[in-house]
Amino acid sequence: MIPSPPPKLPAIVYRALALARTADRLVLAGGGVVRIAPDCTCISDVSGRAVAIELDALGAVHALRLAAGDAAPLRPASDIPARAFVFARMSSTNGDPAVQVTVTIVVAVPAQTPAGDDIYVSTEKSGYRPNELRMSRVDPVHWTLNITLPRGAQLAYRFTRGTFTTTERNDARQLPPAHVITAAAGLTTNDRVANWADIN
Amino acid sequence: MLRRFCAFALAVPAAIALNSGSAVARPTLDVSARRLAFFVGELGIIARGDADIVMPNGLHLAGTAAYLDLVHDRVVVAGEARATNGPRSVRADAIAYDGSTQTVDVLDAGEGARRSTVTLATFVSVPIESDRFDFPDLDKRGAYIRAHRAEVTAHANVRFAPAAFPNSPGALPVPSYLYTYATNPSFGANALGGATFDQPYGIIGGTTSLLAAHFRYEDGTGPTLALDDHHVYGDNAYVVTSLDSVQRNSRVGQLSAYQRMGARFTQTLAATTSAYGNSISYGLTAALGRSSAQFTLARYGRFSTADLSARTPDRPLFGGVTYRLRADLGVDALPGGLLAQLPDRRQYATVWRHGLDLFAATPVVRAPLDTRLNSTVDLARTWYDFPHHRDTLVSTTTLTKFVNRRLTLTGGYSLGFAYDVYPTAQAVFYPAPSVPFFAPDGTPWPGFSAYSGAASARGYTLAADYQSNDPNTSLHLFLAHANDFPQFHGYGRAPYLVSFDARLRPLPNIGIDVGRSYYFGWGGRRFSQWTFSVLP
Repeated sequence: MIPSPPPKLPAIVYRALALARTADRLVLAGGGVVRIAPDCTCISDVSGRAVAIELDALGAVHALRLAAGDAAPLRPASDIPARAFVFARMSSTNGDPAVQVTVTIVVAVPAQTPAGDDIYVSTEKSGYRPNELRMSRVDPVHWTLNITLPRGAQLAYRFTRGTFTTTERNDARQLPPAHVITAAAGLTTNDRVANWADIN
Repeated sequence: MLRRFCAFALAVPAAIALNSGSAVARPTLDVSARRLAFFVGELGIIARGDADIVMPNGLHLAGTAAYLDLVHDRVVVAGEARATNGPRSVRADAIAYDGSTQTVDVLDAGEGARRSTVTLATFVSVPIESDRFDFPDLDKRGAYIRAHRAEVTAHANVRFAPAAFPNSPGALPVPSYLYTYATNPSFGANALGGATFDQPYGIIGGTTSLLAAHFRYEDGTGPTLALDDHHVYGDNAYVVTSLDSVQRNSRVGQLSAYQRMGARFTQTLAATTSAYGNSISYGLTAALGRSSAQFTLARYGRFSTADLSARTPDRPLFGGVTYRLRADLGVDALPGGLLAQLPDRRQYATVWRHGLDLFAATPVVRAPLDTRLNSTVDLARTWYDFPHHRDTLVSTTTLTKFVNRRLTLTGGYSLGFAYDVYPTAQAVFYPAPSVPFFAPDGTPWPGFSAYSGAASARGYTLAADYQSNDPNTSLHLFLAHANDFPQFHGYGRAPYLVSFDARLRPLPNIGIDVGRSYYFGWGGRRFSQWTFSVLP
């Protein structure tokens, strides 16, 4: 009796950004290089574009199309198995910028802070606009804010009460350097505002 | 006066500019392609279609697509990539340039990665470094600016030409747009007043300077044009000058300057000039451990004031309660006399004063219903050399309930008291009205005759803050009741007030902040004007 072939599993499709492709190889963002199967159903104009990649049993690309509008659930490029790479990239020292992580900024403000004022985070992303991100009150002197950043990204920020004239000051009542964090999953800061510019 | 202000406003930043080196033209990187897209969240530019990049160091990169990482000062060129520097050139499947090390990595799908300097003289094999060839997948996010050409001054700004803003309704395409991403926080300094709408357009700038035009809409004034000029010197100094309502007779010139002098001393200077008058103020702050002393000198029109104050650090009192003391000595002066109510006012062209202030705060303590509670009290008295003293008391109690990560409820009670005491002349300075007093809405108010220098304010507030997972989406609801004296039919604070403020980000690169208050018919007033801000 001839055994029936195993049921065909749904293909795993990965989303990656392609840098270039040759006849038999595909270069991905981050520098990893994977093989392209001879029978690949592949588009050729991929440079700088997000693509959907299907691998065959040997780890070679047998289908390559633009990811835009792809209805199938796409797995991140970081899930592509190591055996698929001809040239594996080194692990990133900055983490994977394609992965978004949530960082919690927590700050304690002085007791002299006017009870009705809101606290804001102003970041370099906006050129330090003083009312950029409004924080949430935790208790009378603690405020918190969740922000989403690419993993490994650095963010410089300062605390204000909504205007530049109400920016934080350090213990010497001088403009402190900006706070800097490197985004990592679950990171929670423990910042403190020593003084405000407008309150002596 | 305006001419003198402009001369001053130009001279001060020029001095700082020369000191900080911003007067030297900075090298720029030029990038062009069929389509450029700038992503403000990542501070990155994606160039698609015949991307062409010319570096100030002579390196020329070209390819099908490119990514410029403005934060890390690096470039990745993808697809039929070419690097040229003088007579030397190299082709590869991808090329990465790192501005911090001035190195070029070329990646060939069949051979791996090799590295050279920007001269492209010799190459050595290296492992493929992921960070260098990172090209983020930003297709799902909206571009803030689309253009065909950009000129990048590293760690300072990028000029797009022409610039379109596909996700910012109301922002018209412009032939040229300067986006500043300088990492110095002092670029946030602003000498312009508040506005309902403010769209800045950079004109010229570098790592230490920026001249920008602002298209604004101001309540009461309408659409206006303003200019502001920033000069910064690390975290140590900045000078910002601005000219608001340039096209109107009501134009306002302002200057704001800050300088840190060593670890202890800081000085500030602020000046304003307009058709309505001029003012200038100077401040010198000295840190003495965790104590501080401050000297301020100000002139508003013909009125002058000087003040020297010192305060202690926060000291423990008992049970976690802390306090601080503040003492000050000052003098006020007005030619012709300060005390206008007196027949011999000319004797009082200068009045000295001294004061003492006690501030105390409880720690945050747990209260019933899993709430957090704290209280503060601020008690002050100022003595004047004319028989006169002024007492003030402000006490606040705040109760917070952190319902969950999205919702916080806050209740507050505040008590304020101020008493202006003239022991020998109370009736001179607070005379009983000889004619009926009318509130702002025209209602006669006989009770105002009871006001003889003592005012009280009691406030009750309840606030609810909703914050979605997106920090750009929040709702703030506020309910307040004020029971003050004097307070009557539009005079003083509204007895009841409800307001809301909502922040939304309907599109990736456009945020809206909208709010309004309702006064329950206080003095005939029901609604406040809408507050509306467009956030980039």
